[in-house]
Amino acid sequence: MSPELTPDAFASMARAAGITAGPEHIEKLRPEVEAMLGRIAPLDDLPVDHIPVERAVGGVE
Amino acid sequence: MTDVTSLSAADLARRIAAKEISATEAVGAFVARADALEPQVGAFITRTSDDAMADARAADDELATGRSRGPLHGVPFGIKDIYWSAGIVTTSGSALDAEFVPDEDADAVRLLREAGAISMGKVNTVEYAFGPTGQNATYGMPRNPWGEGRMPGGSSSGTGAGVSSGFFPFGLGSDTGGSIRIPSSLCGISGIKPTFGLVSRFGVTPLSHSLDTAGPMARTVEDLALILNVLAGHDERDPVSITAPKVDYVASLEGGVSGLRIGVPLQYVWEPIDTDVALAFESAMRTLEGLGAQVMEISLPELDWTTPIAAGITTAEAAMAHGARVLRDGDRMDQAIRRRFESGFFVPATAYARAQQARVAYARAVAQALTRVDLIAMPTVATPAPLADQDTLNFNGVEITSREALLKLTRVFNLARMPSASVPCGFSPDGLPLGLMLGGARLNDALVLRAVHAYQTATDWHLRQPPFG
Repeated sequence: MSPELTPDAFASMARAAGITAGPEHIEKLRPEVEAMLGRIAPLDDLPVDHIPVERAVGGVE
Repeated sequence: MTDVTSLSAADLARRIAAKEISATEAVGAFVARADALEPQVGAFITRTSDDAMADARAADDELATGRSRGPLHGVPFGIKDIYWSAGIVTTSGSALDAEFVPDEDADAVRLLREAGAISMGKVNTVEYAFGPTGQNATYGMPRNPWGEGRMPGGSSSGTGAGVSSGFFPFGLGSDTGGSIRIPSSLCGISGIKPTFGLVSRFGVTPLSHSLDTAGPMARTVEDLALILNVLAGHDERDPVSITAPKVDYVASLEGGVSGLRIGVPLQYVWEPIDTDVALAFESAMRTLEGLGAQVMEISLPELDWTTPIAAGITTAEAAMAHGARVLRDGDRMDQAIRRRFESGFFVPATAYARAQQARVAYARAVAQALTRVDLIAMPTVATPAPLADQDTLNFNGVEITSREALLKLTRVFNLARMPSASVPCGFSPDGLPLGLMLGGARLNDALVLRAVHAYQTATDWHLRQPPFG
């Protein structure tokens, strides 16, 4: 997912997520979501394929 | 005559047990101090002074008949308002829960009361503990007693400001990314985030279920050990509660740091960071060397993963915990906190899983480093307390948000699920407290406490009183 979201695309995504707030709120939320997506983007490049997902998400370790 | 409100919890407990002072006198002194200063501090959300005085009289009656409830008999404490307290409003710092009255105590509250401690009330927190600054749109930002207009840190803002102001000698905090250690550092007190799962979270409002940790904040490390003796233990009502061998953290305090290897990470910690913070940390390392520790640099490149992992996990899990209410009643929340929760709806499930995979790899790397050294040291927070409305900071030309500067170092031990304590280690030129953080291997809480106790015994930073009240 690209961290850069057009206002219309983001508004559609927000509605799909159940956020029914007005356009002013959505416009404030959009850059925060973009920043958050930018912060987590490096996760794709981390060398962690050897960690079993079920072990990680299950909270065993 | 000794000012009772300046005593540590351990000292106060000893004096009450020896009948040098009554619980009624002690609690009365803390109530009087809060009466005088709370309007300027804003540490509390709900004060329960009448109940505290009644509990104190009962404690004195028990002592008169030769009965002591336990090691904290008659000692007052503050409860972060995300911990349930039977019959007392528990707001979680939110207008949404302004009328929520639990019918039982959180396990940690129950254990402290059974050990004789007396609640002074429910203290301020960032809304649903989701932020490190101390800001709260509904209940206000507590004053940092060390600097007017400065952040107290959060999310356990009321516990930090309350202990520092002398409203109670210790209190409960919780720590998902630093929420015990950040306000401890900014308010000049001591705090420990125990090993994940060591202290029950039953009855504690969740934020991020795979990182949330309950723990104490106090004036001294001896107090932290005394309180952890009471709090540590298995509770089947908390799904992540662990069964660990019983440890006497107070008895483990002595022994010093002679011969211990303390690792200082080469990566991540030092850029960007406030110069005074770095200098105070270097001075603390020289002190520990003077006590016989071997301080050495360690390579831990995985620390550079800290921000993406923490963001991926915390943002998603916060939305899991509170998303439905945010969607329904978000208009009544702090709008900045609301947007933080809503951001969690946009974390792809694949990214969340990836963050958890990375967290495991990260924890293994930190654990591997802790086979080469006994403890890892770094400053607690990269900055002294920022101004209350300061969104960004600039260190030697590098800009960083205040939020990131507050969180970047403490998160390391949350992601590793390892114990980590913060103690005062100096002051900025503006007179703001600075913190030293030591972390150790999982379930090595006793060693962490022993080391920061040795440091505290050799220094007097923790004895300084704020220029307030």
